[in-house]
Amino acid sequence: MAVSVTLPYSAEVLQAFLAGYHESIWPAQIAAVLLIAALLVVLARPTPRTTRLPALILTAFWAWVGGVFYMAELTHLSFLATAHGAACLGQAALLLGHAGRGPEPVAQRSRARLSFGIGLLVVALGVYPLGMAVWEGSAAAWRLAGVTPVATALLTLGALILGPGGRWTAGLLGVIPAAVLAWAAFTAWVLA
Amino acid sequence: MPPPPRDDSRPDRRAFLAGLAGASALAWAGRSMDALARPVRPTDFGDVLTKTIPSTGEAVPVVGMGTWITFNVGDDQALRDHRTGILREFFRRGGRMIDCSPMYGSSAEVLGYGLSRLETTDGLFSASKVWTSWTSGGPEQIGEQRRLWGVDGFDLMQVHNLKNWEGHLETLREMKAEGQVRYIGVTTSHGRRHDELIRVMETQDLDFIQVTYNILDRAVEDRILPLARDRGMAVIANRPYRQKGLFRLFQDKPLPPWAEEQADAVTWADFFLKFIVSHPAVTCAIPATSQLPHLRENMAAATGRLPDEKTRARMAQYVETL
Repeated sequence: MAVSVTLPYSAEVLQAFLAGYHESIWPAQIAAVLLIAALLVVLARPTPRTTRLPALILTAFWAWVGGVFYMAELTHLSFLATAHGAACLGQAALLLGHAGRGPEPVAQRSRARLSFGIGLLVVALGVYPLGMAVWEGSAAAWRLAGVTPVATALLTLGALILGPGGRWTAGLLGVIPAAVLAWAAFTAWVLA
Repeated sequence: MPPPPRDDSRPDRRAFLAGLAGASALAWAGRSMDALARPVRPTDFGDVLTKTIPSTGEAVPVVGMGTWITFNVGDDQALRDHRTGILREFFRRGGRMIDCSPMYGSSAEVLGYGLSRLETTDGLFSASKVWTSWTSGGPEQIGEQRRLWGVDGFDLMQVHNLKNWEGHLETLREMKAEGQVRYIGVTTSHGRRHDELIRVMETQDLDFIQVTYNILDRAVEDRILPLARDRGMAVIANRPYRQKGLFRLFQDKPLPPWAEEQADAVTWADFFLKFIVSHPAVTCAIPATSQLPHLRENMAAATGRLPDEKTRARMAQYVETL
């Protein structure tokens, strides 16, 4: 018996859904871009007073992705959306709990850590959305971090690696984003 | 709310009455009810081959249409209109049975959109499913499906993937007694839960079962299809192409030279579908498609001759050698 594949939509429909989603949430994208810019500034110039900001910004992103992208929108296409949305809201809760622990000392970042973290941010904000737009021949389904899941997961992992927390923090808070990426890889395999 | 009385001029009513008359005649002649499973060519459906539903003798075309993935297009207007064209062509070519489920995202809504825009949906055989863990949620879900399809009642309501079948079958039996649905059944897919399906078939009075059956996935041949014949249950075959898997495997390979002569199979779609619906226990197959050329191929498979038992064995052997 063939591998069970339970993805209830096609690549064509996913692209159309994302284009419609962007229309329906406008101008939330502007807020997402501004928050991404703030996140990058805080990650580039960390100070003891701003160590909680990355987690708070990412909390907002995951809450949006869970509540709006999955539970309010994708649920019309996929019976799996509610479970995925719940996982994203769980990630938002974890990030909020982390932010609530108070300021952390600014960590020294090794060269490898810096390179890996920056690399993930570049993929999240540039390579991935641009690559998808070129692949699809349209930017209407733009994979914008903060409002779509895969770019948000990549951005989160990059921010966790560059952020003030240690390995354990990054590891714990990175589980759900890593799962989102794994699911995205499966989805891409099925839809291809 | 019971479905409205069917127009006598509609082909399914005539076929139903003809089937009942046929069943009576056969019973009088003391013949096996298996004869009802043989394809017939009533003029009501043009050239489309039909088989009869054992519990009533009503005829349905041997090829219907599934909607998994293909009709789940959300709010996209262009895609919705395109699927409306698929529906129009389906009916134009003699199609009747359309199968959907609340699990299929926006498919039911898109179906309803399309059906409401067709000039006629005469002969529609509406098949949907109930898919919830809670018995109390069944009637509400079925009502929502009715609303989305834009129909007053369903011809067939099935318990999706045996989910809470004990509770839902009780509900469906009540709805059938009240005339809200005409037939009831259960479904499985991907070859899962066959043992449980057999238990349900042995203990419950069902009009239909729906299972995965295609030229490579033939596990149901051993026990389930014979049991369906014994129990007088119609069989819907889902995943007739293993989604698109069979075409990926074989589309570059040649059809055997004897396929056309022995089964009127000139395309791989013919080959795959005719293999399925020629099984004596199978009532129809429900391929899903979003492409008009593919739909035409699917419906073409419901015409012409079907392979006999010897040819079926040869067909199965041929794909195994590929």
